Amino acid sequence: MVVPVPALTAASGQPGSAERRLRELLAANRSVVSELALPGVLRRIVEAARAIAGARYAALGVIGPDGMLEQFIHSGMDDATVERIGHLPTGRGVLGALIEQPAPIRLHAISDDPRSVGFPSGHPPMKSFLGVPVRSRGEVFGNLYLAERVDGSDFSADDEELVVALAASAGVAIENARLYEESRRRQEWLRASAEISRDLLRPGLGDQVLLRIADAMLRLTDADVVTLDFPEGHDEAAAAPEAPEDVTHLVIEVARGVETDDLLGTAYLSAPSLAGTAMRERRPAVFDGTGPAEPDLTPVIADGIWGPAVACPLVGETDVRGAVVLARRVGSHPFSPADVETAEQLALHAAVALELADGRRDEERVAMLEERHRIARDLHDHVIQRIFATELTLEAANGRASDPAVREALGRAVEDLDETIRRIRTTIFELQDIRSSLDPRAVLLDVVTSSTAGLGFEPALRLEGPVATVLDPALLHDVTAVLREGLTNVVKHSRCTHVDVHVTVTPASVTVEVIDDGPPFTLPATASPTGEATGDATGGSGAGHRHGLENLACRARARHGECTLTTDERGTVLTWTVPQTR
Amino acid sequence: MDRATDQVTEPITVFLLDDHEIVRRGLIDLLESHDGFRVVGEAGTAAEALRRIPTLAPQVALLDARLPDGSGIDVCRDVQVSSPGTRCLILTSYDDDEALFAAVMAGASGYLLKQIRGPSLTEAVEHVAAGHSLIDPALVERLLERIRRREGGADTEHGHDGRPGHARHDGRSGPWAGPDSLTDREQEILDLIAEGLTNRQIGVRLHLAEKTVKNYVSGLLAKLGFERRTQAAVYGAQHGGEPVDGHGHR
Repeated sequence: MVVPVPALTAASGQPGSAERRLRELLAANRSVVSELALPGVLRRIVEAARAIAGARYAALGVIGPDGMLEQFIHSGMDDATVERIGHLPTGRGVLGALIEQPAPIRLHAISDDPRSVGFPSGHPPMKSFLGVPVRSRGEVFGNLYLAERVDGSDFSADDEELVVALAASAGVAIENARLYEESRRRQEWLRASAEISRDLLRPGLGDQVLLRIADAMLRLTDADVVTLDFPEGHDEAAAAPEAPEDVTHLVIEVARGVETDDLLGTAYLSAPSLAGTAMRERRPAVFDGTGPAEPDLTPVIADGIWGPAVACPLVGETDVRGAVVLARRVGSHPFSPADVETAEQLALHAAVALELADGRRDEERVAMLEERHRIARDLHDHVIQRIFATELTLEAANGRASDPAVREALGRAVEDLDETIRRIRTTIFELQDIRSSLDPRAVLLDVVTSSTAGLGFEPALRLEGPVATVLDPALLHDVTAVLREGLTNVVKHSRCTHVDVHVTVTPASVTVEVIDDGPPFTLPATASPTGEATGDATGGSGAGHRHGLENLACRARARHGECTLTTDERGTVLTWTVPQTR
Repeated sequence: MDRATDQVTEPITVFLLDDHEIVRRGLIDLLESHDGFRVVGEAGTAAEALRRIPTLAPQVALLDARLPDGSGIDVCRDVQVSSPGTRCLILTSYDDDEALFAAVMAGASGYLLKQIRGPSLTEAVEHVAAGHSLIDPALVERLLERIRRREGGADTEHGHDGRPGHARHDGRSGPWAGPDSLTDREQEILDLIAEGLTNRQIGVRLHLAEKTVKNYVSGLLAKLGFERRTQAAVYGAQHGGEPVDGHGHR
């Protein structure tokens, strides 16, 4: 870093007039306060102090929360020497004395001071010393250390006064830089927050929102990797939300940052992990990265290249849905409280995004159901009415027509329209989504629909009469058995293209017909109520087949009904009919 | 009437209530193509029907179950009081089960599905005009049984969605999907309705005002998921507004 007033450096070697030195101080102040970024400010402070004190070496030690030196910015030592020493001072000895007691120290020789702990090997000799604390916002930020006046003399009281004055403006500059940093961070946070809010409100972004939030976390918290971890199987249909205590495994579902390819999809034990802890306690869990690597904390740390980590719970409206885990490389700074707070805020956003996504899904489902309901209503209120009205007109015309051919044609048209109305009724029933296990109509529909896979098409179901009212559970059980067997039969033996299933209920009887248009086959055992086989049982249809039909015949006999397999112009017709018991 | 028969029979007088004019035209066409029927009046709304039926006193009223301003069930129950000589048939495009339920709730003599084949419409009207009922008493008993069964079985019914006893209030339930259990009083009224009592008779029996019974009937219909919601939805759709059913359902 170049100090902007080189003349000062040259001149500062010799003690000049007070006026010149004051001018140098003013120039140094200007230099220090003209920089806004904190690292730049610190560097300029070191250079300016070295210049105005006429020292060979200058350094600024930043005190960390643990009271040790967290940063050490130095000037005047070449790289090779720095390399040879190996490590930066941590704040012991004379440097530590300033930390304990923040008041200027001026020494003729460091080694003479009782607090001195000596220099590490390879360290250049340092004799004269001037140390001055730097305060910012009422707290000691760090210390300015100066050593070895270039002219060989000791640091004077004037030197001390100048450096103290510089330290005061340095404190202001540091405070400015911190405020600047904070406002920049706040600004970035606001921007990210606004972006996320916008994303949240935009439908159709789906998981993209989570990715964006993860990216914002990376940026704002200075993390190297961010993952979103959820309980295993959490998105499976109908999975009841688990209490965080009951979650056994977590799975990484979103991973952003460096070297995240292998992380995606990794499952790990929830109980000992940072994410599991955060979910159970509903607050951030922090690992400062010190101590041995704890492979159980997160699979991220298990890799060995990751150090400090934070997990924040994703708290939804009713439950904890998962956690977000942030990590930095081994040896990085731990996450500061501000970082944790930022992560927490963003986790909140992510939780909202998840809730919103759920809400949208529900909304879509409701919209779909509503649409189906509307279609059903239209069919009911308009389509059936119109078909019925047309039928009435045709029927009236039929009454007036005298030509038998016309009458027959009109009659056929009316029958077709009736069939259409019945189909529409079935469709309305399907559309209404009354999947009640107690409604016999729904049960029958399910049985018929489930044969679609075997047949390659869906059989047409026609229900006639008050089916739901008449079919009590026992009768329904028989009827579904008949339908299953009848349809299985068709699948096994018939190359058909169409199957009609009729369930007709009258106050007197219940009749099931399964009609397929496949080629007729040799009639296997069919049975009358008396138990006599009415068909030829020598057909090659096999024992299993005969067994199935015999079973149906048994069911019919038990209810004083009958079961027949016949062929007519419609195709092969399985008829199962039982009288109604009163 | 120039037909010379042994017994000169007067045509059966019929009133039609259906909000679709095209259906009324068709029914008039069909009925009047037979000599035995005369359509003496028609209406497209419940209010109009309630006004006209008592003065016309038809032998048979064919009432559409669903109307923009009410239901044929309510109309039927009112007609029993205001025009005791009129026999009612509920005309509906529902399934048989709903139609049967509607007819029983209405205290009607029967129901006719909107289809031609099957029970003949003219025969049904003649049958009812002659004072017979088309409703099989055994079926009514089964229907009541079924309602009681589903009342008691609400838990198992909804067990499949993992929330036992969790009633559905999604507003798209069909006529059988409303397991809000009936109160004793409602059950009592339902039984009396099934016996064929009019609102007035039920009122006398239970020491209730006729209007109170009427409210109970509406409540029952709504509870059993029938009519009110859908009818309100139709009303809403036809009047270009949100359905008004007091339940917030759509």
